[in-house]
Amino acid sequence: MSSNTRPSDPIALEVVKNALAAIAEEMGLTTVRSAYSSVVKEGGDSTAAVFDHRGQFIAQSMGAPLMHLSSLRPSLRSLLDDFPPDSMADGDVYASNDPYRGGIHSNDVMVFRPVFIDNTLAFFTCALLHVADLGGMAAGGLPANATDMFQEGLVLPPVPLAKAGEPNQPMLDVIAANSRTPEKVLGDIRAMIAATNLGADRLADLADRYGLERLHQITDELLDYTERRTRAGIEALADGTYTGSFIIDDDGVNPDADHEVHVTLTVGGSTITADFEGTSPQAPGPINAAVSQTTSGVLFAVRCLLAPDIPVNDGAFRPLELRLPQGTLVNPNPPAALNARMATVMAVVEAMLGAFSQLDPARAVAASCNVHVYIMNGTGTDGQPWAFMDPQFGGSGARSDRDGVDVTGPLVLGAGGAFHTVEAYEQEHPVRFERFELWTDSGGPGRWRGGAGARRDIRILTDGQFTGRATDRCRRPPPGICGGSPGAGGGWVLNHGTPDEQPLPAKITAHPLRAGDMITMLTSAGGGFGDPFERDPDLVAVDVRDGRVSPEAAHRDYGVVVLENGEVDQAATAALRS
Amino acid sequence: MTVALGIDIGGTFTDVVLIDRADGEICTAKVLTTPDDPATGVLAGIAELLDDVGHDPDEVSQAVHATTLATNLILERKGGPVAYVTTAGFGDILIIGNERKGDAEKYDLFYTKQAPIVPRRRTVDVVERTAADGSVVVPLDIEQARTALAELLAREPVEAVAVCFLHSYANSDHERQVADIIAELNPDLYVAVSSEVWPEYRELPRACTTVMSAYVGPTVTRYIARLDRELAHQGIGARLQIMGSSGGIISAATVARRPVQLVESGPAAGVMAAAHIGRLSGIDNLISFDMGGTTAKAGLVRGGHAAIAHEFYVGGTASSGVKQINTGYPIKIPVIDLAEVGAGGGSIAYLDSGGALRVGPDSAGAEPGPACYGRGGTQPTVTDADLVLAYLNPDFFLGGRMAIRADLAHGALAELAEPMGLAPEEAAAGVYEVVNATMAAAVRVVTLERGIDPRDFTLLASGGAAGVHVARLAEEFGITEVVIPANPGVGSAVGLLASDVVTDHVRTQVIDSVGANTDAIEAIYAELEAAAVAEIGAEGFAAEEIELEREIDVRYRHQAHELTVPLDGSDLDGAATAFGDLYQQLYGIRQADPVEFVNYRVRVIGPVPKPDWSTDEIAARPPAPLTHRPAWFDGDMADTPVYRRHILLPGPTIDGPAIIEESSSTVIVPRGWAATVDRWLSLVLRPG
Repeated sequence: MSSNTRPSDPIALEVVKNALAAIAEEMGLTTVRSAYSSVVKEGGDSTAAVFDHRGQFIAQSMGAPLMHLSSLRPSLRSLLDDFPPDSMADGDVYASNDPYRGGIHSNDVMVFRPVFIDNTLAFFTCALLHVADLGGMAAGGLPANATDMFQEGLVLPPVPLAKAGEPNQPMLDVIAANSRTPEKVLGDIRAMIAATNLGADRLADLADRYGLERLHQITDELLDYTERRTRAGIEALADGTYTGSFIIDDDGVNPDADHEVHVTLTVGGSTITADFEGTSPQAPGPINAAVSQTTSGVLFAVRCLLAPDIPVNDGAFRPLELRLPQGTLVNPNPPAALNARMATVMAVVEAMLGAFSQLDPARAVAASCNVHVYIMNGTGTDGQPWAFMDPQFGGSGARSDRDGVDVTGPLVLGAGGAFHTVEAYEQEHPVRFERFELWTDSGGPGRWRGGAGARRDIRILTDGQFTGRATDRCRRPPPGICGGSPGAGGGWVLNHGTPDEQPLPAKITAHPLRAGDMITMLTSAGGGFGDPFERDPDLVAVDVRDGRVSPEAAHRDYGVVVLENGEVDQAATAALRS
Repeated sequence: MTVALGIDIGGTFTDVVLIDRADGEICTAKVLTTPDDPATGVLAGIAELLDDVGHDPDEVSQAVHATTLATNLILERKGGPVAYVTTAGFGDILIIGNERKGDAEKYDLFYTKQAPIVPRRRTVDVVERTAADGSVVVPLDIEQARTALAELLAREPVEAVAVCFLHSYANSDHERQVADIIAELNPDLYVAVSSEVWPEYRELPRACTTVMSAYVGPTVTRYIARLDRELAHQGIGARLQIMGSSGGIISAATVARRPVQLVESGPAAGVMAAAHIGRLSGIDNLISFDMGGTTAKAGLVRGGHAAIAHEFYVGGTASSGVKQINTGYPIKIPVIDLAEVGAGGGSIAYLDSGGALRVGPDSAGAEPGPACYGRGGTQPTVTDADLVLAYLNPDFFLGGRMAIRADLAHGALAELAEPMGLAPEEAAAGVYEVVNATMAAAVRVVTLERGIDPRDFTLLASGGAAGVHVARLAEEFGITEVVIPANPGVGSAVGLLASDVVTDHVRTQVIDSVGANTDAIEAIYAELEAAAVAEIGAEGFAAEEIELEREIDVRYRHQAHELTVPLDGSDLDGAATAFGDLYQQLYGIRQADPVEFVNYRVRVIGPVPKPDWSTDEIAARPPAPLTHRPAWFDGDMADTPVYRRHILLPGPTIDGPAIIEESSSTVIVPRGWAATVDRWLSLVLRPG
């Protein structure tokens, strides 16, 4: 560790940093665009990264989610345990997904390629993407009612996919035989291999320019540089011990059970220790977060306090110390199920941000939405099965000086892919959207209002099925802060506004639908900040004019009377607020 | 005898270029832009030029204009108030956007979405619904639409209305009926209808394209009509034409219908100039590289044609002048494919808190400018580094018209160098290397990230600062030919007179390739071509001189990203093969799935005569250097020959290291490179 030194060559450091980022970016584009998996294509749910010969993470594709990066690090280490570097050869390719050996859950498959330069193991190029289907109890691999990892799909400890350029066909056959969509899964894996191959070529060019030894010196300096800047950012924070917690509302098996994530943060000098003592035991359902995932939530929250241009690489992890009690939500024992771990990851983020708000009240932020995912599937009039999966977002929490953001992905996901439009869904599948708009009165009232959630009404035009995974924040909506009210909780409703209306559980698998049924999908909204009666009445009037707040809610929640013409009735408002 | 006029209005200068159609002679004028009323500056420039060359206004047979007006209206949010009319239940689409944040905002707890161009209260939900196949699910409720529109128009002072209904690309009846209602309610309103602006599927980009058209439409059409009138008033017979975002010239009538086509007008002209200069010199594949004060841009020309993208973003959050991917409004029209990075002559160099040498994206801009300008800037910039390395000549900056101070540059670099334990020259060399690496990202995006090997391309530089950096940039990619055209300062304006008149049309219909009805696809093309031919016919092109190009968007059945490939007649199998080839080029693999056809594109071209300024003069031997000066080459200050560019003629070769100066730019020839001049007076650098 060399946190107090300067780089020996500040110029080469910057040039190599840019070159590595460009290589990872090119790898990432290759993965996304050649993947079959619709989550990858539309949501950008994939990552490419470069590691050095010692397994230190040095660069990643733009927009790579921390959840992926935090998983590639321990997974590569686990791979090297089973296949030591001296057993590897040029042309080897490995895969893994074991959540208890660094992975996330079955569907997030990682591919690693050792890169040999001048017969020396010089780097690893890696890719991770969410594959379409790898078996398990539910198509698409996201059973919301799973009670162990075996129900979530095929588990891959580190395995070779190719040795010295020769494909390991039996292994590929095993993977294909365990998938409902073998062609798609093999296509996804080919996409990742293509990315790692391309990265290997580019790294060889870079080593050609600098010489391998010199290049490794520079990448070491890059990690030290990142560590130095991360530590400098932490040093600027007030030393002390702070606590935060967040309660998850449903584990998929017991809809009424509460599960709490609790963190005690100690900021001391240039180190942050996050101790999760007090966190609930691991859940029977799939909301448990593998260690890699908990780590990503912690790093995400810390980075919200640091300069945004600090690179993400191994150096960024060094100043963090995690204490994760065994057998809890944040460090479960096998074979706990983990596919809905976003509930716990986002609870980790909220608990961390809550603790940081004690450190610096100006950075306090109310709770936000969590991602909701649903799958609709059926059989078309042509007899062909169809299915699609759609991640949805709600509103974010209000801040100490501004409103929350309407309908935007929680940041930790880092999703950057193309947005799939209503017209595209309707072109491809027998469904009709009847509404996609902001959900009126959903944003948590406060001096600053929480961001609005969304409402989608989707009618299915053939018989089919609905699988919903409202990850969290339905029964227990996102709380407000400093006197602000909670945002609206999300959920699914079948045939809303008809005599057949039926609220569906937040987590539901393969619910049968008849042609003509409609599902109303509501995404949770951000909590409010501060007393809503202190909100500027003119801002309330704007919200009413723009349909975010109804006149009734303005009256009830904010004590503001908005006239027909959209202006504030000052006298009536003053009377209500006195 | 006729002449053609090109008019390029930039932020600081307005360039006017005049080409004599008879002998290809080019004359240029550079006048100050008059921001409050750009026409004034233009007219002054034209008068000056015509006077200089002794032509009469009525000899002008073509007048082509590039303008940043539409871009600025969007960036500065100065368009007119717009109402937005859409299918009931979908009125928040512009507010919701693509639900994504820019990468730079990922960890920003204080992130806020930009306010939408159209606030919700100016949106009208209309009861109607068309299905994906064009069939009507809910008939248009004409009375509801009329009542809601009348109420909104009475309440809100709008200047334009954008209409975008779901699936209107498949059936435009409801949109057209609503446009009629708006015209009845107020015939003076500017109306943009999505099925006319750009009938391609995916409602968010189509709605944004339509809304942006309505946002800039009234101002842009007024401006062009006025400039056209003023030109006529000066006695110029030619009607004003405009450079469109796709690198094609479009008529004022087309601009009025699809004004968003002006958004990338200026940059498109630059790439078209590069394409033309390449064609003259027999270079079909080139990368255009433009280095400005704040940003550097790269574009691609393949087979003589500028590469086109089919979607871009406008009005997004910018980080120090550089647009962020995925922020702002997606616009779906053909546009010159350009990559931009935040590095240029004014970019500021600094040591960050971790001790790395960084350059940009913050820029000293024009005020105070680099330290060497002596206007109060103290931070070292790329220009200061170039001066400390003695690549720039303080006595010949802008041909000696602007004094710059080497001592101030030296001081600024010395301060940067000190904590690194380096000499100021070494720090300057570091700035030079880092900014080259940063600018390389722009070239990388349009080549390697598109699966294209840059080594097969020539790098063509424009912009005053580019000549200092371009050879090193070429080395970065193993590029072995660099061209710096004559008169790089007015390059864009030349592009205006080297481009054809073009009109683009599109239609969406998803058709599986298995059992595809070829006749139905042919009918779509026939309809698109008829409309396009009629449009370009109005520009005075006879049927026999028009060229037609067909393209088709293809994708694998299970994928969502379609790629555009040329379609030869109605050879769909050939298009599917071309798609497989392009897919393999971009992504390294070929897949076995059947394909489906998605969008059908027609481009109709009205050819325009192109300028040619070749010379037959040849020099037998290189001129003697004007002087020598110590400059930074190979890690040290070494005595280097300096040439003046304007006396160089085709023929001889100048070996690097050498410095070639002209009034608007400087070209550095590194060791291992050699420079010659071609028949069009372009400097050509090759490893020698």
